[in-house]
Amino acid sequence: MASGAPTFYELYRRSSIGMTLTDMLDELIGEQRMDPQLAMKILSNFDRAITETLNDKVKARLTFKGSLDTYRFCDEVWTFLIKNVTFKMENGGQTVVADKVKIVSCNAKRPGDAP
Amino acid sequence: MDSIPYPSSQAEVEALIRALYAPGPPARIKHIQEVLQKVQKSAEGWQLAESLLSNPDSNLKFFGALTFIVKLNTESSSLSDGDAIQLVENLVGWLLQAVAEGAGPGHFVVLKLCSALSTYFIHFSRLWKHCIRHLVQCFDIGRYIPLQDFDDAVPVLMAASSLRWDKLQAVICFASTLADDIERTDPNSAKYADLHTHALENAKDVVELIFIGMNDNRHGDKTVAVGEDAIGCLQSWILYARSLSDTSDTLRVLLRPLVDKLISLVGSDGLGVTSVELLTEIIDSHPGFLNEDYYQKLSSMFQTEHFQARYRALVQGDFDHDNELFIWLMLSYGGARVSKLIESTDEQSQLFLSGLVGLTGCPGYVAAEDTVFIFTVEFWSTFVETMTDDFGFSSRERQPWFNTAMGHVKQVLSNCWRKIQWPPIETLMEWDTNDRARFVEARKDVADLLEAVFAMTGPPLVSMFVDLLLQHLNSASWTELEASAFCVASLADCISDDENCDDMISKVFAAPFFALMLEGQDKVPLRLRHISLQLIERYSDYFERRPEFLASALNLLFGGLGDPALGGDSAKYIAKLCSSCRHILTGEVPAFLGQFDGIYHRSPLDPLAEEKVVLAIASIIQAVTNDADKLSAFAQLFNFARQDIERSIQIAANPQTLNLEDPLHRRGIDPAELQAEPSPAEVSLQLALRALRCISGMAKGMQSNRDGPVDLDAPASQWQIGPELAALQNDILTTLNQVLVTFPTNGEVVEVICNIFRAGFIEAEPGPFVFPPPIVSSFFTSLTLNAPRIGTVVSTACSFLSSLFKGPRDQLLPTLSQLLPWVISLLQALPEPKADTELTQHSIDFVRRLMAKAPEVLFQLQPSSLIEFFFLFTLEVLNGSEPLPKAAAAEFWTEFLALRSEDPAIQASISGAMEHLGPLVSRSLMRNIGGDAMRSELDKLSEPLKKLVTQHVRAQAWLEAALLAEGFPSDKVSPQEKRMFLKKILNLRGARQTNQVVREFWLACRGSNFAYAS
Repeated sequence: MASGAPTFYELYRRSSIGMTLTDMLDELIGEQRMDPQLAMKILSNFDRAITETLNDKVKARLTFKGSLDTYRFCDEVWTFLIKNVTFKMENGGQTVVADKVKIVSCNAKRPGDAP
Repeated sequence: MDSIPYPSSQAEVEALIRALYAPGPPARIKHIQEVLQKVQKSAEGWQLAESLLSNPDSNLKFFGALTFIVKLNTESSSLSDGDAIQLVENLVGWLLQAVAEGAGPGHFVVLKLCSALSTYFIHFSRLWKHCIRHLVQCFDIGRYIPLQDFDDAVPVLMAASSLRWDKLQAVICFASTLADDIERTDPNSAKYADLHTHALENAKDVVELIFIGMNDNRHGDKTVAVGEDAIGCLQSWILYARSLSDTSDTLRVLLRPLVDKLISLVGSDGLGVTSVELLTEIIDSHPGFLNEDYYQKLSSMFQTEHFQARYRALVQGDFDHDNELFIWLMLSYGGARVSKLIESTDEQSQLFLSGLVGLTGCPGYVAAEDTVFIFTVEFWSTFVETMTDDFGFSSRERQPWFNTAMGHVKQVLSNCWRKIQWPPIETLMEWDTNDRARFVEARKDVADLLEAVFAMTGPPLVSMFVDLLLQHLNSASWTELEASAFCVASLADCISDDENCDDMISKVFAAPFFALMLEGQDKVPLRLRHISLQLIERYSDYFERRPEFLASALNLLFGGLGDPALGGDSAKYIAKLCSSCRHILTGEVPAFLGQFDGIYHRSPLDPLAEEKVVLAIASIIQAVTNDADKLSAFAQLFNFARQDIERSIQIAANPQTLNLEDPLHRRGIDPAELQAEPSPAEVSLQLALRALRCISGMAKGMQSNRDGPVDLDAPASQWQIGPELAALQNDILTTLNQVLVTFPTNGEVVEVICNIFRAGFIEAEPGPFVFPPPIVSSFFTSLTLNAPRIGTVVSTACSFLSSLFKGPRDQLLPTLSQLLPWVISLLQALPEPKADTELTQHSIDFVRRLMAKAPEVLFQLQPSSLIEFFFLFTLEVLNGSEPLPKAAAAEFWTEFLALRSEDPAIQASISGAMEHLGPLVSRSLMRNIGGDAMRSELDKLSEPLKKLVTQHVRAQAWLEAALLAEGFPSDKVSPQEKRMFLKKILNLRGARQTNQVVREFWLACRGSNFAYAS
């Protein structure tokens, strides 16, 4: 079924909140309290809501420094592998360090949406 | 509630429908709905729908149309062509009748009948190919025209131009519904291929219909309503065009000319706003719909008098919603054309960009009054980032457009600097929390813009704001000074590492800046003092290089500690600055201790702020090179906390000694409840917690600075410590034990003590909190299941375990042999694994870590019943449903199944254990993967399975037995499918694709209902 425009990435379904939502939908379907069609609709609403909310509502920010080890751009997806990363939260918040970080970033406007 | 019998007559059905739409208890309504749905699905549903639509009652008509939709969606294949043709005749007839009877176009019966006709088209488009043209002609002559008599050569443009407004609106309503419904079907599915072909055959008629709707001035006061419906219909068809593949351009080509009309309507009084809304949506959601030609037309439209009038009204402060809509169109256009706009130096583009510059300078405060500033700043951030990203640095500045573009950006920055200035306090107090939050967000957006601009301009941008700061410092213009300081602070990340910029920053801190800020709140507003503290924090690296200003900065920060509004941030920044500049400040330790002595004896600080201050002082003490001086200074600092704890214990033992007039006793009062009269027990506990948090701050402060060199060849620490340090450690442990004994049931006490221990685990050098392992181990094992937050204690033991492996192995084994039985005995004391999931999770994690590094400790554990219990316990957890313990158990089995030892005796133990455990773990994994596990657990459960098939020769037999065993959770997969799954898993030999095969098998076991998610 073609979804109504605009369409949203499904990548947040793999986040903790997305996986928990899917587990809960599975449970409701298992108990026959929900149709899979409704679950599908809920997940597509989730795709939209989380994308829009992260874009519009989340204003917290951090900066990070590290050594860029690898980068690539394939099928409109940028991937960066960064080593020895230090994250600094805003307003003098805590500093977090990581040996390795992988950043996968997709175009906010999906292919074909551009003028 | 009485059950509702199935209706036996038409009258009973009608009564039920009336009851459905009348107010009533929700349960009854739901029950009626269920009965009526049965009626709809029955064989009599078709006749029922017909008779309902013949009834004058609107609710009955509505339900009749709804019933047709249900029947068409479920039983359309049962209709012969003759029946289907009869059906469209009836439906069109009822629509004509409803409109003729005066049901307006927005009436629910008309809407539902349009929806029924649209559903009809989806199922029988081959019979009603020219639906729009046919419906227009039917309305034109006022009756249904049999399909065989209908003249499909008559264009819609001709027939529709004479329709009365209500008839025209009804046809437009049908055309909109048609696009909405067809858009929801899959254009790539063979099932709907003919539908989309037939829909496109109607597209030309739709275009003519919309054109008439947008162009027709015959309808008096209904003209605008007709036009709005036509624009809505265009929106639906554009959305439909978007859902079609990019290669199918037919519909877009047909629809595009209507955009000309849409642009021309922007200047009209009636349809201007609706047109602007649709144009904005097209650019935002479907920018590829418009080609270059239309963007040019839009560009010209922005310069028309009508548009300019709207623009002028807004930039003069009239933030009327309609004016805003015109501005959204400008911003959407700007966003879509940003690359072109950067490069264009023509007059029209420059006028447009100047217009967008002007939007950053509208009168009124951001958010509370000016609603477009935030969105305009977003555009300019995109503009600057595109300048940086799309045009290489070397070529950028040689481009003819560069100076013009930068001219706009500079003007924007100037406007932004004015707009981020805080309003007077009385104005601020009138704002609601949303307005305040959005004002702060706008400042953050401006900070982002500044960083983006810095990427092009470099340090001169900072210099500009430094000059502004100095200028307004001299004139004591507070709001301008605060905005300038904010901009300088926002650019800290860009230059704080750059020594070449230090001279520029020195101008700020060398000026009478500190002296002015120290004058306090009587003279300097709170906002300015706050930003000055932030400025110090953001440039803490600078103070390391230029210590001459460090003392003034710290004085200012300490001065802020007593201020309720600034205390928390001041403490945080003191900790950061002292930690990063610790090596410079070692000579000032006595002064810091003296300063803290004053704080300690005065009115108490907020406990969290005090913890940070103590951390700051401890971090300076840590940098003292002479060990004796270091220990002496630390002992003085620790003494403050010890006194608090002694006082706490005294009050707990003798409540009558509590004296709330004594400032040292008042340290035990929560600052948020200063006015209350707390009990001695509360004061005693708060005093102890405050002291423990301070000790925790000391422990963090005493951690070595990680920036120093690490000698990889140095021998591992032997935990040999001198007598002074040993005495100090003993002092600390005694104090902690006293608190634990006094408050044995308080979870927070246990948690803070765990944090204190943790701080020492990562240290490589001896220190007050780097306790000898046997002492730490004894502390842990003294706690039983009855201790509060025992899960946190075991989690701390996990961290301890990791730190132990950095030390000498001969000291390690006795400690592990002490800890392991303690952890397992805690699990044995649990009535069931889920009684304390935190303990279960961390205990399994502890044993896994231990097994990976020292398997001999696990397999030589005595009595051996402990290890047997543990294996069966983890299997029970793996079969359970608690996510975190289950994940820990899966990790444990992954580690165990891959475990190998060079020691033959240990290896024999591992092999012997696998003989018993292999079938059991196989069964547990197969039960989970066979449907018992949650979807999110599958990846974790795939890991032990991969290890099982790659490391154990009998895996195939164990897994096959598990798959075919009775009690397998699913009956949806056959034995052949199970064997096929096993074959795939074995062939993959632990490869990553195993996860996908596991997922597919889980889905097969659960059934197709669970295939809704990818």
